[in-house]
Amino acid sequence: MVSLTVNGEVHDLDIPDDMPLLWALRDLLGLTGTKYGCGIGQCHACAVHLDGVAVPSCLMPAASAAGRQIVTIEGLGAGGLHPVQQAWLDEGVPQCGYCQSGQIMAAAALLAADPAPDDAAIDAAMRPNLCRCATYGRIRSAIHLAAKERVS
Amino acid sequence: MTAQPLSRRSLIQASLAASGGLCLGFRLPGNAAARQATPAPESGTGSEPVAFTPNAWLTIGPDDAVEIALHKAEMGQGVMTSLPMLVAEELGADWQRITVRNAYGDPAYGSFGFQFTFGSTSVASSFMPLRIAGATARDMLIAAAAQRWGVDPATLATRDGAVIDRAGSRSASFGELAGLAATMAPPANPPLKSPAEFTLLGTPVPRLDAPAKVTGAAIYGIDVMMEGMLTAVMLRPPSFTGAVRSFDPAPALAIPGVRHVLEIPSSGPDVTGGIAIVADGFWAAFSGRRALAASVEWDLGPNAAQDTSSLIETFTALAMQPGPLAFADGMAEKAIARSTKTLDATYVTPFLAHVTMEPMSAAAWVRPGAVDVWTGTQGQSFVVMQASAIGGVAPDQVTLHQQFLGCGLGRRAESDVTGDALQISKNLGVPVKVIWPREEDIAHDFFRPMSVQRVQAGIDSTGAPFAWIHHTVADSAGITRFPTFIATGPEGDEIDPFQSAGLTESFLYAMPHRRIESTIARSGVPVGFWRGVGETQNIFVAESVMDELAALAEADPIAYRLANLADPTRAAAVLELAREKSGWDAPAEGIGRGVAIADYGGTIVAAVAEVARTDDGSVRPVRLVIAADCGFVVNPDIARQQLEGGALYGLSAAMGERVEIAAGGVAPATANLDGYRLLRFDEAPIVETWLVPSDAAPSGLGEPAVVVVPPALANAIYALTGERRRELPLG
Repeated sequence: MVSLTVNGEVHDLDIPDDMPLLWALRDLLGLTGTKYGCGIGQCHACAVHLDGVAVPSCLMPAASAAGRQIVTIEGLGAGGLHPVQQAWLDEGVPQCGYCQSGQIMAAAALLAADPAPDDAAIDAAMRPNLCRCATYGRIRSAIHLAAKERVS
Repeated sequence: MTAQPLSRRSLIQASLAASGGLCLGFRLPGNAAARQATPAPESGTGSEPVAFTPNAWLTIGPDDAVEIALHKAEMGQGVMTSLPMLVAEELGADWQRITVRNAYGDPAYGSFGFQFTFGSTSVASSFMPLRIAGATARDMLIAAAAQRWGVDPATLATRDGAVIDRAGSRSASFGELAGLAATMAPPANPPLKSPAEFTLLGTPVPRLDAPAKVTGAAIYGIDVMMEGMLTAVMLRPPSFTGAVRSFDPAPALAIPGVRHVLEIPSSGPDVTGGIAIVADGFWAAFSGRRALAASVEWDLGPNAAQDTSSLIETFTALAMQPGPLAFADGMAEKAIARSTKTLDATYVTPFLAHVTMEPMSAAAWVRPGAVDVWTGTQGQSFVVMQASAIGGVAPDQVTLHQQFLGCGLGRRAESDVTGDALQISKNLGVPVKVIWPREEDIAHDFFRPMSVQRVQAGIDSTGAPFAWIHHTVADSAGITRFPTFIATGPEGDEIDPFQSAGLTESFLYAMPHRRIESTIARSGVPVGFWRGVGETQNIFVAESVMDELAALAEADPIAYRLANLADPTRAAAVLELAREKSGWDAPAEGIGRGVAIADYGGTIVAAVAEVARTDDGSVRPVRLVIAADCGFVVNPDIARQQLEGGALYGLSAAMGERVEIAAGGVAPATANLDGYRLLRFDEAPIVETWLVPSDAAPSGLGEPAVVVVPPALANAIYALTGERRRELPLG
């Protein structure tokens, strides 16, 4: 039995030791906002927050996340949109949208650690997240916008 | 239930079914959804609260809600917003009251008899029909108000979801008028607004799908869940011509949660059979797949020795011979000999995978007399025909539940994964969702064809292009899977028009002698339609060769193109816009600039790429300037999204993408995202987009930018380094 704290709720799950966190979230908890893209940590469509840090959930066994604070896209905005989600709408980022949960989780974790990131910091934080629609330019603008909104 | 066309009148009667504010949307007999509709009452007095469905495109509820049918797949290109805008503009709707439902099955939704999303055609093909649909409803609402108020309809108009008296004295909401409007005769030729009258079209209306896509609420095919559903993954042979010889299911069945291991036959040409591992969830199925892999013996088939270098060798040998004629103008062979200067160059473009961010996925439930399919597909009609065939039911017993597509890119025009889901569900009798692991998704893609292209070209004494012989060698998706796409060349040969796309009628330059040959290679590697299709190879070659000719003529690449356009009407303006916005005439230290232009489906698009040397000596793109004339722009922000994304999609291919073929299949090194290199965030240069203002009929924007960036990049590298790069990828 693995005890996971997801978006503030505790879930006790009877799962095999090697089941990645991604599939526990999707198949057992029905949190399908976190996406499968490659299964090898190369696209970060599956990024979630683990104690506030964005990590790919496709490689990490769920068991190793036990007792830690897991936040998914569904739990990001407490009762509304997180400033990063609002900035995504303001800049018109999503196209197909599939990777955007992971992008938003990565950006939110970046801004939590660095409230006013420069382009180099954004590059470093966002490099792991692939977007096949190539919305990269608008993601950069949206991160800058969210940073500005937070400061003002 | 029989499928038969309904008269417009009976459509309106049928629409009365959705009454009491319960807006079910419109269903035609002849499609599966019709079974869900309530039988239509035969009378409508016009006084009870009813919904109004003047045609297949919209329903107005008594609560003023306007539900618009979306007949194209929303795969990122924005049709869920841009197409309803067409209806809402003419209707005079309140945009805040618009809802959109995915629609399937009315013949009104078809293109060439099929409901299908392809070729950057959605806005262009919908521009008139959807506006007429909205205008029809508008006139019927106005007629209803005129009758109720006893006034001349000419004194009335619609605005923000209401019919208003032009004098401003009266108004009635669409919902109040819906019941009466449903009894009005539809107008034969409702007038359409002029562009000057548009209030919605041409404005950057925010995408309706964006909120769900930033909260994780958007549901894609891979996310579908239901009671009793099992999850399957496939294990297919490592080679394209392979098949299962034998396997032992025991190791897979030993994994907790694995329920079934089934052999699944091929569901169509170029699709291998395989083994389905069916389990309670993905992880158990995927673990079962790993356990099974060790126990399977494959027959690799006749092409097991094939690899990239042997294929390039074969294709190159073919390219050096004369090939089947696709297009001819003048006497190109003789003209080459009479040219002042000539070149003879061979270009190579690799097999490419689509890598939709959402790996292939679909759910199906096959049961006696009914089949349901949940997936995101570009080929709605094809999936329904397939479900009917595999499920052994009539097409009107199939219900397609269209979901969001985690990219389409041409990959979701195929129906191999739905074939898996249907076959497995048919076997087991329960709902089954199939998810292809990424390795399977790349290894069994329908690739952009590899091509080897030889061009012999010459210029005359003034430097103008004089002769051009261009031979493309590539595989054809049409020859095995879409035979209706195969054409007959001028000399009676079998020609795949995609293979010479961009080189024949839509070629932009004038020259007296031109000959296009195309050989269908028949390598056995499965190929398909990849965003930008034939032009993504051919424009790379043609626009690189134009640059080579400009260099032979010692001319500026943009000036050379301008001087030799066959029809400068629109193309010159696009080139001039790219020149101006890129600062082409002001050289920048350490920067190389390259240009390319194309006509893609009626959209004229140009790119200027800028490259610079990095500290480690490599060359990297630093800026892309895209200019396009796509006629009237329905939603400028979505248009820019498509140009930005298309440009970087083309750049990704040009810089790093390549599928390596080994042992008759995809080499494991390029079968996942560690080895198949997609453009990453920090590698993306600035993209600037510019649209030529126009009131002409719209053409598409999903693909045009994809095709011009690779040659612009290669030409920029040449400008910076003097090195002519003739093989992709360049990075």
